[in-house]
Amino acid sequence: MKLLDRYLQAVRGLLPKGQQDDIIQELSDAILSRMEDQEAELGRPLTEAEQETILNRYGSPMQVAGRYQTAQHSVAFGRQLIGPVLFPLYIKILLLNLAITIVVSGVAAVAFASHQPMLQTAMAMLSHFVFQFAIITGIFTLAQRSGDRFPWGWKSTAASRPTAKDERRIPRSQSIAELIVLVVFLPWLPTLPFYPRTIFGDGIALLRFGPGAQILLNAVFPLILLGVIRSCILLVRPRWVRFYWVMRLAATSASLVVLGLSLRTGEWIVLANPGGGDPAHKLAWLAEKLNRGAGFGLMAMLVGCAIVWAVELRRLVRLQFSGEEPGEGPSQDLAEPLHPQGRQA
Amino acid sequence: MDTDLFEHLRLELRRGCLILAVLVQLRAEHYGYTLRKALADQGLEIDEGTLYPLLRRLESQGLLVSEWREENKRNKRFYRLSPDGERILEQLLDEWQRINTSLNRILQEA
Repeated sequence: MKLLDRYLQAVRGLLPKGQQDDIIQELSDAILSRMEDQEAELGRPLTEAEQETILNRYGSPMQVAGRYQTAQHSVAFGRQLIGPVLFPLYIKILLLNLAITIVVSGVAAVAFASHQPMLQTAMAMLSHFVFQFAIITGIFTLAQRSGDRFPWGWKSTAASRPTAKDERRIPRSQSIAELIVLVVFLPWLPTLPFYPRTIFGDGIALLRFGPGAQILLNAVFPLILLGVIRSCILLVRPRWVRFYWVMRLAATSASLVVLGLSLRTGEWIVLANPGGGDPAHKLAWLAEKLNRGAGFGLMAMLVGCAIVWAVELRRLVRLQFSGEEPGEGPSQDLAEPLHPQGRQA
Repeated sequence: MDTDLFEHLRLELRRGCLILAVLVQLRAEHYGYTLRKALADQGLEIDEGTLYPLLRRLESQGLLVSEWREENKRNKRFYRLSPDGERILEQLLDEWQRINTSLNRILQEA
């Protein structure tokens, strides 16, 4: 019943934590009973196509798991756009965005309080959030439609589930996701040195990027380019696993160097006109606070980067000397065969 | 539009009836698959995707109790009505009879 196992594994990942084993075991029994009934009717084992028909009748994993969500919240305008499975994640992402928008806008409001009316700040904050809300809702709606139409959780996996040898590959979906992030969401970063007004707004007359920030911003474009090249190549050659890890290690090493240099240089925000009299004097303390915050943030990034670097190096060394292919195959969950065991309720 | 509206109203009508039918049927112990077949044999088809989450919900509400047991070399989850479930079922059946009687009276008058 390989097909059933794949189907159940796909459902499992979407079920509420803590109830997964229980639900899967019951679901497994129900589907097996139905298949056995049909086999008894036909007097022969079911073909894979017939099994698939039965599973399709159950619905896509997202639909099946959605019925088990305790909180049946969803987003609907006439028809349902985001179902109960994706809804909790959708809300978390929205809240995270809202928090980031408030923090960033709050800092900007404090920095330029005397230059930008409160109402204008509030309107800017609101417009950012509405824009983010529209984008995030659109993405989740597409994900929901895709999950409903194509049972990607199991059918596509069934078709392309890698064998032990095939696990030595980087999934194209991963390369595409990386490309989207690199090409769609990050390209504005390298433009910041040329358009500092994007960050500072009207405060450009008072504040500038300091040498520490310049180092970071100058490094962004080559790093994005490196990532784009890596993802494009892996899209065409998904089995170049060693290349993938070498490129990742190179990118992390470069990031470490850049972060180190930036930290050593310090001063990410400086006053545009230090001798500018009263306003500049008032902003000096703010620049100092921002620099201190940036310093702590970059230090944390440096530590995180160093850990990632060590992990990547270890994987590359193991790959080189033990012949192990790390790959990006199925998760542990998917790799484990399904053996529902009895459990007393 | 009419079909959608009818479907929506039909589902609404069925929802409460299904709960009642499931509770009545679980006066005797069943596991999900046999329960579904028993209901279907009585002319009440219910999709597995609806039945199993419904059983869980009724259990979490204390109306059902369940137990995993092995049958035909497979572990199955057997459900039956809890003492609370029996009490509430009696109340629901009384209500159902009242509604049914009233509805019949209304239909006759119309």
